[in-house]
Amino acid sequence: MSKKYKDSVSMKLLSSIIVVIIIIIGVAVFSIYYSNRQKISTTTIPSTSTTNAASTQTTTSSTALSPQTITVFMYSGGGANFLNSTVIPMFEKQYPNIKVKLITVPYSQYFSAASTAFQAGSSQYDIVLYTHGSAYQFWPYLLPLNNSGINVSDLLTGAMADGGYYYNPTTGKNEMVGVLFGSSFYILAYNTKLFNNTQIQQEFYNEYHFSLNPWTWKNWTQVLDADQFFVSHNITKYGFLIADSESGNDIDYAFPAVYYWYYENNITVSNGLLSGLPGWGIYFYGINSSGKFPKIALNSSVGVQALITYKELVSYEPSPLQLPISYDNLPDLIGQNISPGAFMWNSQIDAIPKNYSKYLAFAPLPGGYAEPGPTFLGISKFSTHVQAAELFLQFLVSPQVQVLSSVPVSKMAFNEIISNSSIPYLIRERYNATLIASQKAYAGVGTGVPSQIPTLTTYLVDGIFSYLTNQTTNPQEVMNTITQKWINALQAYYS
Amino acid sequence: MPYFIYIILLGIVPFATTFLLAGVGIRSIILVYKLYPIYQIIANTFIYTIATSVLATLIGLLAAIAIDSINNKTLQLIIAFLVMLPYTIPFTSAALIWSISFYGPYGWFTYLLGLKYDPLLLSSTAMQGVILVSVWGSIPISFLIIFSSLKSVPKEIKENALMDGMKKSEYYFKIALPLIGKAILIVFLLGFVFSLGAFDTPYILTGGGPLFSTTTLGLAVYTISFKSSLRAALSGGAFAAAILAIIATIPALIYVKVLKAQRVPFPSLNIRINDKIMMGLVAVFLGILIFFLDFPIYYMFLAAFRSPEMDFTTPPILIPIGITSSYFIQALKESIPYLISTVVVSLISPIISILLASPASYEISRGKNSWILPLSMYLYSLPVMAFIIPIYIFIAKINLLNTWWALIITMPLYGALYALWLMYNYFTLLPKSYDETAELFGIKNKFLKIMMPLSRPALFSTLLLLIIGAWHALFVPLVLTETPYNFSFPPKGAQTLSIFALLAIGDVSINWSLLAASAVVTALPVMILSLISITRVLKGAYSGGIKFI
Repeated sequence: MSKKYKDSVSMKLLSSIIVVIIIIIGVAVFSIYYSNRQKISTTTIPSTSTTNAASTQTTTSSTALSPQTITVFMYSGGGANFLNSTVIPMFEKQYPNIKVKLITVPYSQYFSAASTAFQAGSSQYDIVLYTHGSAYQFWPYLLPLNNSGINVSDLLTGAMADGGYYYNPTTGKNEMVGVLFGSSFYILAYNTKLFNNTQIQQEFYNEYHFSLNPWTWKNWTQVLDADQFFVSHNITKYGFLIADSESGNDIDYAFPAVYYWYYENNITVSNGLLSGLPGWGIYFYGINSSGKFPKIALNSSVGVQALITYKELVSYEPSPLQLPISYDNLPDLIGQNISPGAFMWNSQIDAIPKNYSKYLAFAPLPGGYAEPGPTFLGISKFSTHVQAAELFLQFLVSPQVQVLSSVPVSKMAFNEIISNSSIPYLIRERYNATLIASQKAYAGVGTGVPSQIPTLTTYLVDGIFSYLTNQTTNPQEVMNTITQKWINALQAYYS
Repeated sequence: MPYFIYIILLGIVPFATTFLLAGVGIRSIILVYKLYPIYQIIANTFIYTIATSVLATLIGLLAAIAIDSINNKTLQLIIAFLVMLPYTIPFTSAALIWSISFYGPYGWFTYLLGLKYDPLLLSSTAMQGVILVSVWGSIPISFLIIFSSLKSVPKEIKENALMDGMKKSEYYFKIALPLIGKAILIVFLLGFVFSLGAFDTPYILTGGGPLFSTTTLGLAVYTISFKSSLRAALSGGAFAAAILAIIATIPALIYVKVLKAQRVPFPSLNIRINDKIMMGLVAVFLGILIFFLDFPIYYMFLAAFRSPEMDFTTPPILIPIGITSSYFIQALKESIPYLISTVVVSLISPIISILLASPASYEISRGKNSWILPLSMYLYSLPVMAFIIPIYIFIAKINLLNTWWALIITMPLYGALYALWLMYNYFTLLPKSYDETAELFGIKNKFLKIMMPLSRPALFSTLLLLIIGAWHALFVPLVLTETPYNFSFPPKGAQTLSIFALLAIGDVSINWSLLAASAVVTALPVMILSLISITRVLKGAYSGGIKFI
């Protein structure tokens, strides 16, 4: 190959590369310019809507608002799918001036993405989703919704109280900053093919002298009896499945479901406060001698007995060291028909294979309660489309929309579904069970202090996991260790 | 000049700003460090770093000696390929495969060791598991650098030694080892500084648990800054990054000093083993090593092309039966938006790196602005966490988060620093007579007209290595992106394949087939590229163009 040719090839290559670079820079500059143009805020004519608390219709007229796009940011999953496939098309049809853009990211990345966007003061998201456990992170960045026209009285009260309100220390007022979006509850799901079998019912009654109907169960001992029955009679390989995974922090929601029974039935600890010590939750009670934080109930008889019971429940499923049961694998495992049922979030029903889920019914946890797992939508204080965002939220929680959701948050929507005889009986019964369970949905850690100090959850989950896997065998010792770590962390936090 | 401006803007300024951020919000920092077990985290970091760098260097060295001692060149090349195979797999894919290999009686690795539990679930064994995976991923590059260095020892030295009746073992441990001492030390120091900022492996395998037992400083930066529910956590994370930067400074400075040295004294070991026994030991060692390095890759393909029920049996099924391509095809379809982003970023950012670094490395090799080299090596050896928080804030402020531009602007930094080193080594080999001739004939732009064309092999090899590095990147895309490419214009969404593979761990339950298929999809394109670049390196310095030491 001649030198001249080589040189010309090299020059052409270099020239091409330089042209590519110039084009890239040009496109980048254009993109920045283009995306900045889209962020021009639209001033809106003040809404003249009047709101009626009993009204189920949104009253603000969108013609008062100029054409705009609002952005909703949440993690991917069933709730996002519901918005995308149902709510947004309906809303945009009713309010053609307002477009809704939905951005989703995986759950594992969502909270860090939202948190850093807030810390950077970004206006890219108008409406954001938060859970009761992450409420503490989000509240300071959300606008009050007390005068937004949303019909709060129709929303599931217990769940709404578990993260929808923020005590603003500056104003000294309780502000509503989130509207209930998803009403997931941790309940008991059972296979009606087994539980409605009269022969199995009779055999169980003969042996244990109480009904096999989970609705009648008053305590966790009865669940353990049922586990023992199904496994020892080789009806199923395992007992009721309950989450026991440490790596996904699943223990963090499974343990309180068991714990709450002991909490509620110990008047010394609960003192009649069914939803836990205000601002602290069910793991705290009374007043600590230091005065800065209350006593911790984990190493009391409440916590220790709950731990023992939890371990007994876990003994009727695969070892957590070999196959930890988690939120992710529970639907698949239930679908394999290896257990009489499971403790699960009602929203997981859609993830269970249909050939099995069609036999699943719901019941409250033994003792008639449930653990709430609500999610909320709030409006970012950096939003430049506040009125449009409020309109969207009003629309979202209205009964005519909620009736289309598999996890409605509107009481009216629930009642409409339950009374609709065209819906299969078992599905209506699931809604009925969820509505009943929601009325006593207190078994959560909620927005209390443990959700605010990240290491508390780590210490609790890891301590319990060490007990479940026999790394430590003394339950009192386990709870004492966890409690001491909590005390150290709280002292650091409040010092 | 462009190179220098770039590393100031994307390297030095963010690095300095990290310290500034850490100085702000001092109360938040104190709180964070009271809540997190910082001493345990620092101890974990040192344990992980020392174990990984020592083991990877030692095994890499033994592998290099073992392979070099094989007389048959073709066999040498084949075995070298096999040792390099883990290098072709992105860390996320590797972690995926190891996470299912550790699965108690269902995972092949734990089954072979007779373990009935997943070691990653216990705080007493989780760190060992993480170190094992890290060493597995680090052996190839240690081997490659040391092997290249062994190859550059003049053939006559070996021939004369063996003709004089020396045993092979004597030659390697008494003569060759001291000659390649610099390479060994470089490998150890590089491994040390990279492990210091370790993020990918502990993040994917354990998330830092159980109970912080595998949380390293690098992971802590991410967890505290981006995952904590504490307010003003960025200050706390910046402080962790600052601690990491300070700790990394010492080995980084030693690394720069060693790099500049002509030779590094290295002990000569008097090991004399009969040649036949030595080759026997070599065969056994290489057999075990290749099984350890390559079986997980084989298993990744096996799991990707069969039904998940077959992955969940004990004893595990290790032979290819019940083959189906449905999970691979499903993973391929789901990966398309991530693949597009990865291709765009992995092609463009290395080109930018090369264009920035090549002229600078040439100038440095000719004695101009030589201080840029040690500065660059220092920046290269710092963990990316030392820069990322200010970069994140900057990218967020200019509304480029979750775009290709965010990655194209930021990712060339490490590529440029790496390319500077590689190209500098190459240009120092290039005879100065070319420069003299160009001056004699008054040729202007001699770099473009003469040096670049001559450097084609080196440029190409460097480009391949940078593309592979960009393909593997996880931390920067994880921080700067949120969603996959949405097929719109202007393009929005820039999550890469490494994040796609990560999603498989979080979202897939016991469907290991889909998980393994995601790992294969992520790894396959870059495996092919890696094989090409490895061949070039193994063929030798000039034709391959790459000289590490």
